[in-house]
Amino acid sequence: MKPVEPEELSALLDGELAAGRAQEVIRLIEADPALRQEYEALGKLDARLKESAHRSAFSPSVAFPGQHDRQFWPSLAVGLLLMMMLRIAAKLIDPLPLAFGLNAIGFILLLGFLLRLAGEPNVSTSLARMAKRA
Amino acid sequence: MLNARAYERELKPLLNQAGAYARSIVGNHHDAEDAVQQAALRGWQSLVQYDHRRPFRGWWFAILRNCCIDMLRRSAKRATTPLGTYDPPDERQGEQLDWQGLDQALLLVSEAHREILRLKYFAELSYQDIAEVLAIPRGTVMSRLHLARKALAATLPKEEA
Repeated sequence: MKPVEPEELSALLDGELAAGRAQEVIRLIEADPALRQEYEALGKLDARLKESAHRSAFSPSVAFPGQHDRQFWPSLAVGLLLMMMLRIAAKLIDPLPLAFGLNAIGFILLLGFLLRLAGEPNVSTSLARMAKRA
Repeated sequence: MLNARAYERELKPLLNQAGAYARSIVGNHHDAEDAVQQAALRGWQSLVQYDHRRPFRGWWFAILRNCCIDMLRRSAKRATTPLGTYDPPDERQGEQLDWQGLDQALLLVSEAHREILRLKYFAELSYQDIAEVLAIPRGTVMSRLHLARKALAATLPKEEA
């Protein structure tokens, strides 16, 4: 059986050794107290490092490409639907300031479009972070 | 080729590790978040060049690594502490090592060792993915990681018996 290379201890710990070689290394470790001690020390170090690194994990907020397109088109559809309903309602409910309603909806759509532009990842993320730091 | 939804689906599970990895390089959460956002955008823009035979994690973390390096160059600052001011972690906390202590301990090993330890512990990448990020053979990852662990162990306080 081939003797254990030092780096194979790390590879065994990380589950990166081929199955056959992993079994051989495990047998060699069990038969050699010094090797077993070294492997256990490596395992303890690995556990400490994993625990410390895990505590540093955080969830960054990321705007994905295409996300705003998915929000924009449904918003546009809702706006158009509202306009249609308003036109129908104007025929049934009297008097209804139809012109005012259509203008209000047009304004909301324009506002939504401008917010979408502002929502582009590079612009909004950088702006938000600059504001936080100011 | 990946579309936007598929790209997002592949990337979302990696974001926690990406944040930790970026923070370990740039030194603070704000810049780390910016770096991850830049990498998400740059990855999207480079999708045409992505070879599907390559592991996605390795490919994307290579982009993130470059974004972090670019950020450091732009800000011309490094997450370093002069050696003379290094405070070893409290002896009473021998069993636990908070991540700031880990950050400081990493500064005492070589850049090559530091890099591979970051990819292993903060990014939680496999050997193959690390090889992809650093453009080195898998065997080199294995030996370098082992040496890095030994070097780091020498800098850490011993655990209490």
